[in-house]
Amino acid sequence: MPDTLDYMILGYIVAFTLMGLLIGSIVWRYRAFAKTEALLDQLEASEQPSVASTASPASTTATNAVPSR
Amino acid sequence: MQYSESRTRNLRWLTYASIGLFVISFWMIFFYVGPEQTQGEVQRVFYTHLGAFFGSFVLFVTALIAGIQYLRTRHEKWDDLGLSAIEIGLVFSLINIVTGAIWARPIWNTWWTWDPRLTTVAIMWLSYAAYLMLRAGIEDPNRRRRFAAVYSILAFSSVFLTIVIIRVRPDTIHPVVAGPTSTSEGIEGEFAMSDRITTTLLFTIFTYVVISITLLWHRIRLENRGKLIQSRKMKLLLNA
Repeated sequence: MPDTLDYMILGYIVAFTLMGLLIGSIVWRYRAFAKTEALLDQLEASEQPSVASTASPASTTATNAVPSR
Repeated sequence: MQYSESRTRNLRWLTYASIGLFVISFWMIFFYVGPEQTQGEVQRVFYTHLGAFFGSFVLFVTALIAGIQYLRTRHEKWDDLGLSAIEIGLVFSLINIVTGAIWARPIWNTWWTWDPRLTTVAIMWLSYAAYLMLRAGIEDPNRRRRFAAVYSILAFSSVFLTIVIIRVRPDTIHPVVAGPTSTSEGIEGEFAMSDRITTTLLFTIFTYVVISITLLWHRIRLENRGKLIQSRKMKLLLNA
């Protein structure tokens, strides 16, 4: 039987590395998205009051505009 | 996008099943089946080589179906499916090519030769790699999806050719594991399939197919999540 153990080890190192890189890239992107989502949650939460405050003067202007017509 | 609890649970179980199958197939390759007499230990690479090929085959068939379905329905989800399938299929296909080259070094005495099978598999890999590059170059989303769908249908011809070539070309040296062959005169690296080798091979192929489906499902979720984030960013920018 020929001694081909080195090639077997090399084959499995390469196969597992490639598979690991694929799985790692998916996990890494999941985590990056989770971080972005957390940041967006914060931004949306801080945006809520400012949206409400900008909405009220606009509606006031709109209501003011009706009687003048 | 909100997923139902049952779907998330199914994906979780499929992930656990993939890990379990992978561990069992690892045990079978290294402990259940012994080293092959004529090739020695390197023959064990063959299980992963073939498993990865079947995994990529399932993914490229998925991309073909997704392409047809997109052209029929114009629904974005088919485009996402096609993109995800090709991205993962390329990695599986790369595992297949690289492990094949490593197996060939002691058996054929070369890392690579322009054998009909090796040539067609290289064309197949490059065709799908080009899909990602060409796709990234089209800005208009509708045009990009339409192009991607047509391309994934045409690119499948390279998969078909890869499967058929060793059965029709008599000058190939690549072994044929299953199905008919045109000749066996020039084939180098063939070995007798004992019961244990057959069982391990079939189990590893099944494992890789399950792993490919699991990764595809995760990759689709990732795509959906990315799109959701993008739309939230746009909404925030418009409100600002």
